[in-house]
Amino acid sequence: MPVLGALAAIVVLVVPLASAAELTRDEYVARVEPICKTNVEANEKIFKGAKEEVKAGELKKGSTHFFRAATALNKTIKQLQGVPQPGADAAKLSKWIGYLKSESSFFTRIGKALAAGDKYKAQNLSVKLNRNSNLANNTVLVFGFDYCKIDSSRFA
Amino acid sequence: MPRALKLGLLTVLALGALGTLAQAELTREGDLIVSFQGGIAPNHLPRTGGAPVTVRVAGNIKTTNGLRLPQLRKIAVAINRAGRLDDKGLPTCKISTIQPATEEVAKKRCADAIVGDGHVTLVVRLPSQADYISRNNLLAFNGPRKNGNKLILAQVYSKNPPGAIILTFTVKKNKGTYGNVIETSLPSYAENWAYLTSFEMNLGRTYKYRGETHSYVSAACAAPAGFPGAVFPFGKATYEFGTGQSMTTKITRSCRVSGE
Repeated sequence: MPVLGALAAIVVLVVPLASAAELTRDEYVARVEPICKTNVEANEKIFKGAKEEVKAGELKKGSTHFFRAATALNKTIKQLQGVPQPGADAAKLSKWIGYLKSESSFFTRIGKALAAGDKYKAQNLSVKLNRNSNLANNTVLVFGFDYCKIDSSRFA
Repeated sequence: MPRALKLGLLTVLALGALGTLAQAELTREGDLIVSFQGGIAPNHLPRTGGAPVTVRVAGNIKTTNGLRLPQLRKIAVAINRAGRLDDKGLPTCKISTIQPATEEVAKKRCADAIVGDGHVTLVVRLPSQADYISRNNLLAFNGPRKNGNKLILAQVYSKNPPGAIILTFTVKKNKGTYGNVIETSLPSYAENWAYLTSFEMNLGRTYKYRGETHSYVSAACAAPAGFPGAVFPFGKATYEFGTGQSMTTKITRSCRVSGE
């Protein structure tokens, strides 16, 4: 009987903890926006001078910005994945994270194309990246994100 | 107002020109969702100089859960500075010539000044009547200058009930990426009943002046040397509502370099 009593106590304790871990939509936004803000600020530094380098034909040098952006975004994605999600939005957020992973993959691929001097490939990938950004933003429209919204015009 | 910087990234491969892709950017604030679409056609353009194009700008306003729409009072569309507007020698049309007038009459009276067309959808709210939707054609005319700025007069004509609104767009040059700004306000005579839900305006025409061909709108695809095209910030739309709320949405487009 004492064992059963202890089990019951654990169950009672665990259930409230589980529900406390699930965030509301507003709480989720409040948790992820600072993570995205850090990424936005990092990218401002990462992409500094990139446009000029590409324009000047220094593609290899330009490619490094994209590799660094991919690394920074991967770190951000990991942090975003660590935030508990509102249950009702899980599917939506999982799709969004998927688009962010694609975003990171596009950065790497653009970086590789630039490093190889393949301007056609880099250009085609940048168009795909732009489409992917729009899909990501539209997926999470209901959250009213600010920093977590991809502003593709910022670096275009 | 949303901040200018987001989780932002993207391509440094774009260096200002114009192009098309049929995608809309959506922005949501509270229960209100606005979208902005647009681009240019064709999007295969010379790397330098400029070629005749048609520029399309369009937008939608809706609310979630079927809530009542606030009244859109002002639209400002800012387009990449690489686009050029040329009305040298193009006839102009005055408001008094096309208001009051049906679409056909306006077309006849100012045929030489037509620079575009489109559509506008309104919710009409009149006292002691149920709201109804009015889908209208839009005709854009080259207007006179006011305070040094070009005007575009957009006649929004409704067949049922018959009547027209003239939206006067002021064309301004600004500094920065989005250097070409066209903006308009809902005329005061429409404030009591017109609730705009969507608009589309296509601007572009070629014309002859003193033996030379001119294009009302022209653009180039200024991709870096060796690149076959560019991704670039096409434009941003700012919507201001009667409630004081203001929302901005931006879109990015791409173009291909032609003739190489």
